[in-house]
Amino acid sequence: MNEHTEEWLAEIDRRAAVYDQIGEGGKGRMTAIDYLGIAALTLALAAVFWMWGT
Amino acid sequence: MTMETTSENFGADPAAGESNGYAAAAERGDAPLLPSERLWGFKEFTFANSALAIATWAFLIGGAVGLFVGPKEGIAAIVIGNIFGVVLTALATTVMTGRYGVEQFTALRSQFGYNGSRLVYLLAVIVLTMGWLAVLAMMFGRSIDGLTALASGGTASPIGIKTAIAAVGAILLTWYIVARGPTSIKVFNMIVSPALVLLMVGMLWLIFRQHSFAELMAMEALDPPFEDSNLNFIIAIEVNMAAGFSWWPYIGNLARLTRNERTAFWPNLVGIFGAAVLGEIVGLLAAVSLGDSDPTIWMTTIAGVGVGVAALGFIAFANITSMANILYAANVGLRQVGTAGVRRIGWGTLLFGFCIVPLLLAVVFPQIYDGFFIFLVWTSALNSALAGIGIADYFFLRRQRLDLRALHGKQKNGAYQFLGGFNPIGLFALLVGFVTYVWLFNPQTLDNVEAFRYLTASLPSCAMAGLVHYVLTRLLANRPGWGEYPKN
Repeated sequence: MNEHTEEWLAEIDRRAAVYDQIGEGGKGRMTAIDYLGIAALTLALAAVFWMWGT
Repeated sequence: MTMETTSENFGADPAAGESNGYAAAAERGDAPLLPSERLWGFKEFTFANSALAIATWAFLIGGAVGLFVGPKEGIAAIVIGNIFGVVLTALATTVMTGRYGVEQFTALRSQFGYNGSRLVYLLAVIVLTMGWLAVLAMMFGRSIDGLTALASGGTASPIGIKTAIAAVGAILLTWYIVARGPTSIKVFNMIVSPALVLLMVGMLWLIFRQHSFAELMAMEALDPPFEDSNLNFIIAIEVNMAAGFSWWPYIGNLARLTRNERTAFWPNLVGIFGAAVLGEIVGLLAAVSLGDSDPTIWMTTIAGVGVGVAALGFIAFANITSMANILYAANVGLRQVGTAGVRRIGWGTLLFGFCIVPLLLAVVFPQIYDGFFIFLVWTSALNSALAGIGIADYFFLRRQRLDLRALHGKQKNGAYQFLGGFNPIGLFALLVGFVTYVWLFNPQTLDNVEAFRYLTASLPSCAMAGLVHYVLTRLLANRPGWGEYPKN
């Protein structure tokens, strides 16, 4: 099969369509809570260990 | 199809014509993986990350930290440096590959253009991965050499023929594992990773049997470069940040094998952050209290030859898991940034071609091992800037939306054409990040400016690169239509 044959592009389109269908509400998406959790965890670890280590 | 068009096209595995061929092509990065095709859940990715993080390098980085600061400050520096490095790197790479199942360097076309992503691959992956493979193989070789010396009562020879032969064997074994595909890597990870964590806990127990916690925390740095202990502490943090950012070329392509965004992101904090911190703390405490970070040397001293030989054999093979993961991730990327000719090369042959330079380095230039620490910190000048650009582009400019058809379709005159296939804004931002880093801190000489003592070098490099990329894209990209960024 050559690159970018109609067949290959159709396969890419099929795969992209799966993600289009999932849209914004897919299972296991990162939410604001995840990002706040990351920020809180990072800052808390940095602050606690900075105070302990210095 | 014209020759010109072919040379600029990316996509299909020539062998893939059937539906199972498409799945194989997707597994190798040619197409986005569908959710149903992804191998790894939370546990599997945590094991893969742990196996990647735990290798002799973790002990050596810990030992290097012990040169700058004592154990108490060292543990703090290890945690602070790694949490920032790992979180920023994971945000820049794993969230997008975890959402779309897209290969990391294919996704990078949206940030740097299709030729720009090739340039980034060349800078950040080819040189880096070949160097790492050689260094890790030599670590394996040294462990095997140490083991045989122990077992026979002879003397170890770190740059002798036994070490070289074992290093070559390590690279060939890695090639064999990776050539069999990610399922083989998964099986290897699932066996080795939990055992490695247990082994490190055992090592900590051995160290604490020799010295109490209070004694260890009161110990001094081995060879602090400056009289200013705060500066030494910041350098120790910077070394660990470099270790955290050094996962940039790899974890995106591992994360695309996971089932969703959360599974792609959170295991990095358990696997890479947790395992690397544990390994580095073992190396740090061993270096400061027992005089050497390399468990090849100190394990037998305090655990006896029997336990030492068994543990060291296992640590030696831990390097193989790391090598397998980085070789896989790097070669999945290579297929995407390479020309059509590169993609016509069989998977096993391409992998072997990638291994030739590390094989030569391990045999002809074993001195590369001694430059390990400086090499690591230099990589952060690039990786931290790449992380900043990735976060600015994916989260703030594109609002987490990638055009999969444009990423995998014909690139010429496509959405990610930019200027001749290069995004001048992204590349300029990368340069700004790199220059910022080197201006603040020179890894070669440890020269630094006043601001480094308060900011480190990796964080400003990451922030500057991201900021420059964001602002210039907002100001300049819309008129020529570069990158098809959302207008508002």
